[in-house]
Amino acid sequence: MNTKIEEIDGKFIATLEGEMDTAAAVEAEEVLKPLYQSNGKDVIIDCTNLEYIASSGLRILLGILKGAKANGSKVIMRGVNDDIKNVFKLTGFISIFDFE
Amino acid sequence: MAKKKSIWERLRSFLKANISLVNIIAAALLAELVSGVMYYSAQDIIHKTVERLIDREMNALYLCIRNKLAKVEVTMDNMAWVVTDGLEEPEWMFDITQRMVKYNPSFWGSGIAFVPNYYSKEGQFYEPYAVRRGQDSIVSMQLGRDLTQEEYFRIPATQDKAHWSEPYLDNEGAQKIITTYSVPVHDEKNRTVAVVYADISLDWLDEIMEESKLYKSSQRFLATGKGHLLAGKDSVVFQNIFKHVENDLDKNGHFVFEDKHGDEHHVYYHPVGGNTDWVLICVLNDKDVFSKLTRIRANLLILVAAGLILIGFIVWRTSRNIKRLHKVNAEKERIGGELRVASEIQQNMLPHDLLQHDDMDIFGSLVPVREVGGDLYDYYIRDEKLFFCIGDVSGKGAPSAMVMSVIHSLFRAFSAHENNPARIMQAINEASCRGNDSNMFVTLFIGILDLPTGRLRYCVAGHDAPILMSNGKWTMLDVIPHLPVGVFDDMTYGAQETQMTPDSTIFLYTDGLTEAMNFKHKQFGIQRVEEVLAANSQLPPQQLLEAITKKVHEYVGDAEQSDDLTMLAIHYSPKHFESTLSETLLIKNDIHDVPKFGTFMKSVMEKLNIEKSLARQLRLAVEEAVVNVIDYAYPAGQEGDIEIQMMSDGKTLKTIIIDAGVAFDPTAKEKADTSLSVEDRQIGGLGILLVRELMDAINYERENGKNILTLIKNISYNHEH
Repeated sequence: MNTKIEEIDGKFIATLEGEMDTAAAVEAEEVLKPLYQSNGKDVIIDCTNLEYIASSGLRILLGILKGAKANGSKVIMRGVNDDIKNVFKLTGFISIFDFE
Repeated sequence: MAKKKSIWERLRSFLKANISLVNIIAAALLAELVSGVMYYSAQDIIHKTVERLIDREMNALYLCIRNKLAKVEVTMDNMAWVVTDGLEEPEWMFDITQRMVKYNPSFWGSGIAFVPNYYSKEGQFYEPYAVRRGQDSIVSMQLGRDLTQEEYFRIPATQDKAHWSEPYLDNEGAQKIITTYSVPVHDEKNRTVAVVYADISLDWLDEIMEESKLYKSSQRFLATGKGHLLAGKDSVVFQNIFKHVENDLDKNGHFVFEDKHGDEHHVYYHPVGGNTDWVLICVLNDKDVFSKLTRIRANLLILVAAGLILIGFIVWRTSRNIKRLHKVNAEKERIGGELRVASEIQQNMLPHDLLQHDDMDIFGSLVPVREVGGDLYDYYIRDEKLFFCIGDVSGKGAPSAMVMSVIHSLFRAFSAHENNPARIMQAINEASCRGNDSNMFVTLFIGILDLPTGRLRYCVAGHDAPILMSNGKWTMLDVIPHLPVGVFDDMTYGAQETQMTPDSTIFLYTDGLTEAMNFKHKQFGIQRVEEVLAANSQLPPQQLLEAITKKVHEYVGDAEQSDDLTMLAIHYSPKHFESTLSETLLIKNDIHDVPKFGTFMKSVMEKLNIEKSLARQLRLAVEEAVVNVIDYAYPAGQEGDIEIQMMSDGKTLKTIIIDAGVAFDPTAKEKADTSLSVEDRQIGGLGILLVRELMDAINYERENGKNILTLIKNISYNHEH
């Protein structure tokens, strides 16, 4: 999978592409680690091209959300497909993340 | 403003509130009515009897007097004839009078008074007379007085008839009350020439007047038509009575007379007849006649009063008891109502929906002896395991029922995350020993049937051994004789295990079955149970229990059910799984092997032609399960193998994940709470949560030192959600 972070207009934009299985999540976490401290900036996670996510991927997202909440900023999910949205529903994450 | 109650309404409500008082008053009125009726009818009878007796008494008296007077009358009539014959000899008249007195003891004196100047030589008034003087002497004399105005002469002489004179006191000789009977004497030409007469003393009357009295206090009078007393004591009473009698002298009669004191007197009168105008009178004081009756009535009233007091006491006691009974009844009804609700609650606790599963068929029945009972059974399926229990709380009724519901809840709670029946039993035991001051105990059987394999693990706490039936043969399940639950909190329970072969049945029961008694107090017994089971071994659970229930009812007959009757039957019939596809992947316990798994999954999904969305769900679920094994099965740093088998019969996809690591049961984990806020959400537990949510069933078994986790998903339909 491909993972990258950009900072545009004072917002972090993380782009996740491909399949984030447990092994991929380990690599992705290395890339996404800086977002654990978002320093009050909102984080947009672009999932437009994300096809699959395992629970280890969700854990990373939860880590980012916890960091953002602590500093009063938001984490916005963008372009989440129905299957992934279903996973968010089953885990209860749908009520703690913001969706675009 | 509240309308004031009318007097009538108030009286009614008072009477309603004092039914016993009303009863007593009614009884009193009734008693008084009865005694009144009795009194008056008795009075009437007595009246009639007295009247008859007095009538007879008067008649006797009358005859006695009449007899005496008749004698005098006959004698004097004869004397008149004798005088007529001897008119020629005036001197002889003395002789006649002398003899009359002599031979008639009742005659005080007797004389013959001639009309004036009848014998010219004897002077103007000739009246030979004989009179008693003392005991034996009779003195004769010629009275020679003017007698034309004397009653005893004048009436017979002028009216030519015999006559009884009014009584008078004889001052000269007798010093007694005398009456004179005089009869006219005729000569041959039937001219009245003289009057013969006799002075009759009335002494004898006094005697007979007092004779044979019915009532000592009754008064008798004999009076002339003019009201002069011949016998009896003169009194105001007599004077008053006579006024009523004097106009009615020619016949018998009776009337009631009230004196000035208000006393009633019964007056009976009877004319003496003959030549007299006399009348016999008898007076009875009502009081005397009815004095006994009055006394009887007084006694009766005292008795009635005593009876009423007794009745009152009884009624009072009864009403008090009735009130108490009412209270007890109301209480009973309330308790009964509550028990009915409790019974419903208890029945609802039982698994009343038929549990549908391809691998088994189960049915339970519970017939409590009272509204609520101490028996229980329960079953449910979790992670392809059938959890079931049957138990019997010591005692019956409400206390047992309360313990039963506690045990039921404990079973549900402790089996939610525990697959070891001994540990569940132990936890229930510890919990139920706490605060068990009433020393209730429970015999309990807990079984966990692994549906894919037929492995039955169970733990028995003092309960009757269930019966296992296979191929028409039954065997008693081997049980360790543990103590019942609730006795000692430090009891250690051991689990036992057996293999249920396909098409076998396990039958569980409480002692209400074997100890069901007929009217001879003989128990149904285990032997009969086994016989019925053997005869019906082919029946599915529901029909099997119905057959047994029928047999028990036949046996017990009309005898009262002695204990709760509870049965549970499970028929194990695992569905045959014919796989059309079977793929296996072997990976190491390394995260870096996960992509291998991803590729494997994709190929299986493709082979099964599963649409994308369902394929992603299945991949996620299996990956989470596999990662869970990678993370926990082997100690850190130790390398191990993980085998992933996927098989399908076209309808169901079965995934079996096998490892040889430490025993680890992910199904026993508590489900992660998905409702918590961001700050409280835990990192762990998400994987197994997703496995549960995405799969239809999961099942864990440890066998031969291996963890075997089975994930089942129905793939016969296209879409989830």
